[in-house]
Amino acid sequence: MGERKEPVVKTASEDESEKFGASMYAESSRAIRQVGARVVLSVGATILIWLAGRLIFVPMAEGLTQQLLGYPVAGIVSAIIAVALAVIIFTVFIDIRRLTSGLAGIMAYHFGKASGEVQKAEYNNYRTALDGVLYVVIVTLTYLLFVDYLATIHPAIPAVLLILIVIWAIFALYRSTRAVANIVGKYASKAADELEKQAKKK
Amino acid sequence: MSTAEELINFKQALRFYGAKTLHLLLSAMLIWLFGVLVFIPMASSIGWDAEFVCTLIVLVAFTILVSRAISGFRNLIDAFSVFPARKYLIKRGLAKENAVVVSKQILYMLSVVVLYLLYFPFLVRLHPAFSGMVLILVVFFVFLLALKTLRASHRAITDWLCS
Repeated sequence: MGERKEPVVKTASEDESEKFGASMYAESSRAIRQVGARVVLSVGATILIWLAGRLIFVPMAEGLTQQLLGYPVAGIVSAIIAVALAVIIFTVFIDIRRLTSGLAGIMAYHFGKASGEVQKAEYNNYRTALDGVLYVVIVTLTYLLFVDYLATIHPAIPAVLLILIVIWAIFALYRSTRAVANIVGKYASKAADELEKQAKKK
Repeated sequence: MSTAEELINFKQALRFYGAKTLHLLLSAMLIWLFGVLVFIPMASSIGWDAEFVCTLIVLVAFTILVSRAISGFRNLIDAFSVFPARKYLIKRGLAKENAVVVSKQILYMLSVVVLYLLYFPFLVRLHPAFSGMVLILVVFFVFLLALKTLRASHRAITDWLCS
């Protein structure tokens, strides 16, 4: 006769948090499915415009000595391409925000499930932590797209913009690590309680 | 202090200082990573002025976070130092108070060296002489800690040499 296993009885709070985790995972997957393709196509269009500007239009404009309304043609072409890139990136920024929240939610579900405990507050902490780092990476990559065109318009613009990005990134990363510290602090508190139990046994 | 009391002391230190110190140190590390690997190289491609200003901004932010974390980190080291002392030094015949002092000083030395290595990319970009001056100060501080360690453990060392 086979071994009889006791059925696993979940508490109400465990069941609730599993349902929350599952619904969060479904919501995150839906967000990625809906906006993912749109973001990929927009990023592709951005890269194509950037390449065309960098390899074709700006070199052609730099070969021209004429000025338009007192401005060099190369500067005007760079400004037009920078505005086009900015419009595309601005129109998908909301989609990127939803995409990063979806990715953060999926990662939070997998990490939370792997640890054996699924808590609602933990999901929010994971989401905040991952959002912060992902936003800094995305803004940095966007800056790299713009830097050459901005330098052609005026050499000081990339430097000023980079300094503003660095200051913003410092605050964003500080906020992001607070969420990570909340997660780790909870596990450290549990480890400390285990230590106290061991101390009482001895 | 018995083992149980040491564990309770460490638990209290973790509870009081753990979360805040971890938050500050994690923030400092993340800002260091992004600063040294991303922002400062980007700024150096623009020009020396931009590199200098970005290095200064990241250095100031890093220093503020590390200085706020230092007292909590020190308290955690003080509470934790009992365990390596008990595991490695008391078993070799060192008295308990001396073993704790030796363990504490070794952890302080390691922390100071790691901190200098983290500051090195900033100092060398500001001026090569800065990193040299700070290194001399670090070596002097580590020498003082080593003297304190030697004072606490000289008897055990001489016993070991003569055995």
